[in-house]
This record gives sequence, C-alpha cells and structure tokens, in this order.
Amino acid sequence: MKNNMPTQPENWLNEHGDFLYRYAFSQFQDADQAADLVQETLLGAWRNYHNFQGDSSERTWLMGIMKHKVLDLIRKRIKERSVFSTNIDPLDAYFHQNNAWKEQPQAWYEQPEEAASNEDLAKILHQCIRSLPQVQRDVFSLKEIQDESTQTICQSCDISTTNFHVLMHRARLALRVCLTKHWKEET
Amino acid sequence: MNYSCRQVSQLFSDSLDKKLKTFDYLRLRFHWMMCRACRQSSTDMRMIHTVLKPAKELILPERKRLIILKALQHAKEDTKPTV
Repeated sequence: MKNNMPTQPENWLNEHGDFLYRYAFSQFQDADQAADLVQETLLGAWRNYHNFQGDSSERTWLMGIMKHKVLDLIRKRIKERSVFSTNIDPLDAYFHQNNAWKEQPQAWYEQPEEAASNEDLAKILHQCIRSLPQVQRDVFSLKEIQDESTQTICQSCDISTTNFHVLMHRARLALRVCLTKHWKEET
Repeated sequence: MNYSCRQVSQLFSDSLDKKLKTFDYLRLRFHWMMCRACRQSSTDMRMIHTVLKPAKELILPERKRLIILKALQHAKEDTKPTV
C-alpha cells in the first residue's frame, strides 16, 4: 500500500499526533518534553520511511519509534544518575535498623474502594508521581502507566530485575507517604 | 519463617509486578496476620496500582502542533524518503 500512496508526514501529525503526545505525556507528565518527543518521532519516521514494512499500521509503526525514543531517554538518565551506586538506602527513611516501620502506616480513608474511585485522589497521585526522583518516576510510569513489561523495561533500560523491583518498591513507598499527606490537606 | 516489615514491604511490592512463590506468599500472609501496619501499607500500594490509568482526553497543544508541522515541512523539503 505504501508504494502507491504519497507519504505526507503532516498527515501523521494530524492523525496520530494526539495519540503519540498522550503516550509521551503520561510517561513524563511534561508538555514540552512530550511535544519534543512527538517531533523527534515524526522526524525520525520521515527519515526512516524506507524501513516501514507496511505489514503493521502506520500508528503501530510510529508508536514503536516513540517507545524506542522514550526507553532510550530513560536508559541515558539511569546511566547519568547511577542510582544504585550510593551507600545510602532510601528505605532507611521508612524503616528502623531493625527493619520495623519508623512511622506506622495508618488508614487515611474510610473505604479504600471509595477513595480509589475519587478523581481528586487520581489527581493527587499524578502530582505525587511528578515529585518522585527522576529514575524512580521513569521506571514506575513505564510499568504502571504505560503497562510495559518488566522484561522490556529491564532490557531497554539496562537494569537488573532486582534493581527494577527495588525502584518500584521505593516509588510505591514514597507515593504512599505523599498521598497520605496531601489527601489529609485536601479533605 | 517470619519476615521483617521491610522485607514484607518489598515482597508485596514485588507481588504487584510478578507472581510470588507460594512460600513467599504464605510468609506474607503470616506476617499480615500479626502486623496491622503492613496490612495498611499493602492496601495503599494496591490502591495506587489500581488508580493509575492513562489519561484518555489529552491532546497535543495547538502551539506545539504548529512547531512540529513546520519541522516536518522543513524536513520534507530537505529530503525525500526512500520508498
């Protein structure tokens, strides 16, 4: 099909721009970064159109390029930050040396089901995700928002599965504390 | 047999991303029976896991769309793709 149809990259922007933007935004929660990634994806697609096999839809192909760019960016960030080389364990903020809780988690809502369906909670949660340290935020969002597989994340970001689970745990503990704090302020 | 709160917290977080071994799952249950704080923390972590869904209504801002459009037109003038 691609051989007899003229290629118009502007059409990609019209037809798939929002879709690509949504993916990038939900990953990075940053409008500028998301728009930059849409641009890089479409320009990259234009330059590599000869690689498009035509056996998948254009959207799937563009999404593949976008995902590749996102993972590339995250891998670079992980390398730069060397998050696992420090001797300080962030979990020490939550647990004593004897591994018991420093501050006992308490219930902060009446019914977990009601709180979970509350739109304000989702809003606060997204704010809390934005406040996570960058690498935790990147990996957590890939897994929990983009629904990317653990294997893909570990391979593409060049981290071990142990490190992946450590990052997810750190992120969840930080989000719990952040949610509890801000939920109380809102209600 | 009993894990510490720190270990249980990690284990429960792991269980949201992968299937636990039966033995680990039993240790988790055993610890929960005695520890209200870990039960609460796990409920919260599960809630975070449940609440997150991608935003469906988001659209690319018009100003950004125009910038990208110009970049694409520029690229099109510079090169023709190999078809």
